[in-house]
Amino acid sequence: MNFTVLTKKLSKNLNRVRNNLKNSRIKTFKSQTKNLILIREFVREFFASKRISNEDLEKIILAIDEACTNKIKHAYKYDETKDIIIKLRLIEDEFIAEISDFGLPFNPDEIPVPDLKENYFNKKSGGYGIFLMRQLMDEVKYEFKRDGENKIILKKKLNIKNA
Amino acid sequence: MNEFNLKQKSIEDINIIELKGYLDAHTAPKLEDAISNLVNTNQYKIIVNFSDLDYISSAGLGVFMAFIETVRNKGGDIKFSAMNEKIYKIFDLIGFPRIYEFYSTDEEAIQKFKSSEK
Repeated sequence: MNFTVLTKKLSKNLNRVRNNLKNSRIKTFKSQTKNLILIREFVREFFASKRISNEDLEKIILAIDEACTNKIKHAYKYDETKDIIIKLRLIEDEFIAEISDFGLPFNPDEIPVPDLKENYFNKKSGGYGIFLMRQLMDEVKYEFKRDGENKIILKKKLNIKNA
Repeated sequence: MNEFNLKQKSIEDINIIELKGYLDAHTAPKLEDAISNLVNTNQYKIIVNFSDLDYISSAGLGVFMAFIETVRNKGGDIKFSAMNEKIYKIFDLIGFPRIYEFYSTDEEAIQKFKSSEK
């Protein structure tokens, strides 16, 4: 391999690494409801240089808020000392958010689709978050790891206008 | 960053709660307290004005579900006014238009309360 080919190859790889870095962010937040506003800002900043529709952005922000709210309430039972790790990635036109906690495993499949009539009479104020996430995103998946990590994975195909 | 703010006023026996900023799991308890105080003092005619609300999550939506049955049983209602399209879409996703009444202005909601008294 001559020098020019090697340089080109290296530069291509470097660009790929740069793009991956640009399209991937990870941040840890304490499990506190007052941080929800910061979490939403974090997601907004991630998309700041990316041309996605405002509607998609708002849907993603709400879905991630709901995921984190669930972790604060159910996984950590409002223990404010615990961590929520949020990893955001954009791979071509697919957005992937992975949100992890190390609290109580919480199986969302056991949560029924909210029945408004029933909730009306039972004065039920919760149980809408998971339903909303599923409405807002293309895919909502859960992983429970042996080391105690509970991960929720949200995916959505985006209509990205080229910058 | 725009935090959450809540203002209350009353016109005769009708209470209007004006929401501003972000209604999420952190700020929803403030709304819950406000509605709870009205219910505890037998004030059941409530209008919630959304004109300055920028964001709502399910924690905010849930507050209305917690009180609507009690309020209606007492002959009152929680009516929504001046909601923008973005917020309405979230209410619509959950199916709230089947339960709640939405009005363009407070005045329309007030008129509805008054006309149902007759």
